[in-house]
Amino acid sequence: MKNQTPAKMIKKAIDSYPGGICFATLEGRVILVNEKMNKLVLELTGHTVLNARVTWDELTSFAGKDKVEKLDQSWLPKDPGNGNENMQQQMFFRFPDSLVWHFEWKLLDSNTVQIEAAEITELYRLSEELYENTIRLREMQKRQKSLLDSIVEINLNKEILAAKMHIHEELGHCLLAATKAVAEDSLAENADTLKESWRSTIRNFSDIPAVWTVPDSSLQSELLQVAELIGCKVIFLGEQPMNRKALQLLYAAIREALTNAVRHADATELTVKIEHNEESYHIEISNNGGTAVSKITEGNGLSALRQRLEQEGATLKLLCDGSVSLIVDIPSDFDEPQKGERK
Amino acid sequence: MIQVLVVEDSKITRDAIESQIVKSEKYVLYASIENAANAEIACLRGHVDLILMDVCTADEESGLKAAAKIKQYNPKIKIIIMTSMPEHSFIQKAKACGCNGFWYKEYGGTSLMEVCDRVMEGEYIYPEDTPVIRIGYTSSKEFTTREFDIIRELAQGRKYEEIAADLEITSNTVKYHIKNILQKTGCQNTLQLVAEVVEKRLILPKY
Repeated sequence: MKNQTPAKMIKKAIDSYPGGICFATLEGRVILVNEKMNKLVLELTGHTVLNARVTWDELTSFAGKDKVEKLDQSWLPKDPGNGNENMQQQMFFRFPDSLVWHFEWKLLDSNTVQIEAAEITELYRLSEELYENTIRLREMQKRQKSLLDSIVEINLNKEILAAKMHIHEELGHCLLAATKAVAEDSLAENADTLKESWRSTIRNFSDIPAVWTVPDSSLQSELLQVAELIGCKVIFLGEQPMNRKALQLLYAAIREALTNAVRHADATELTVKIEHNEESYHIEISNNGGTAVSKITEGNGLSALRQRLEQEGATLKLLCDGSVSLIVDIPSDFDEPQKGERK
Repeated sequence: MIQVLVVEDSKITRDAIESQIVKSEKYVLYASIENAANAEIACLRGHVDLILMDVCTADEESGLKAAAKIKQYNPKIKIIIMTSMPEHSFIQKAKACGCNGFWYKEYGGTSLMEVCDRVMEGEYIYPEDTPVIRIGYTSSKEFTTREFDIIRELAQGRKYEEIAADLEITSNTVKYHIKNILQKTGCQNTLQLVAEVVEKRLILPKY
């Protein structure tokens, strides 16, 4: 009697628990199960919890029954690599009364397991909402990024448009003044003012200096012409990449090599040897500098270049055999949209 | 004669600047380029005295970053940053790089040649403040430095947790600032806010 009383009390206590609960051995032998768990399992499988392991397997392979729906878990936050899969498993069911129940299988110690069922209808609704909001937010972030990608282009066009409007305005003033003078038959009186006004306007736009100016903004031409301007010729051996991204990386490397070759070795010639196979462009950049170098310390410029190349999947090696050469490997296939490409 | 390097990717603006240099008696055009990344190379053999540097140049290269590199090796070269963008951080960045002057193409009353003359005489010429831009119901001068930090992070597509980590504050503080910014501006959400600040060029994260 003394022994039975606590057992009954325990049973009564867990029966009053609003959720479902079941304790069992690892093999599935039930130690203790409350009424709610039996009721829920009965609705799902057609029987109460006879063996906890068998019941859990039945729930795992549950294919739908009498308006009970097993819910997918795509809305759950991802928690990769926590290694708890063997210790803990969970499932979600929506019952005909629209309530959502969460079933969790947990290993308590080496020989005891616990199955717990908790009603989480409101939590599930909020989680679903959160999941949808997260997806929407991701879309918004994508749009935000694409907006940023094109903003410089838009600004440049605005700037050009503003300058064009300014030109039109100045020419318009001259035309208006001339028309007015003709209409008022005062052309002779105002001839000098008009002439000076036209001259000044035209001079502003045509008085472009006859000094060295880069003809276009393509990646290649400006750098090569600047190099020539400072007395260092860049010689290419082999075919340059067609992809703009690969070209940008190649020219970033040439720029760094050129700067170092002129600054530290007083070079007058930079040779860029390019070999191409299906996988990558192998590039060797060397110079004819006079200073012998046996060891090189990587400064800010080279470190920044290495970081930029490695971010894009390319590699950089430095070769010191008297002079310094840069060895760059750039992947052939850049899966990159041609955004912001100009001219 | 003072040798000038012009770095400007808008042809019309470049032509206008070149024209002013040619007309002057003190300055001579050394070279004119579109990409700021090539400016350091153009200065290598020591022929440049003054650089007129745009901020947003060809191939999305930043004139401010180029200026910092040039100043590191050639502190004697004078650099004037030119821009039409009211981006709030440009002036501070230019000062941090050691640039000698800053000139707004579309704002302010000082002419470029006047700024050049004063800079060549050894003065540091900077506008007192960035132009004030309206963002929703408020103006750019109503934002605190921290709020600008948050907007800049949002414009880079960062999540709240990432912003919190970058700025070394809690996610709740990030949310608090964002709530304040949205209230001030009347923007419905952060996307609308970012679209407006970027469209009005108040923040350009790449530069």
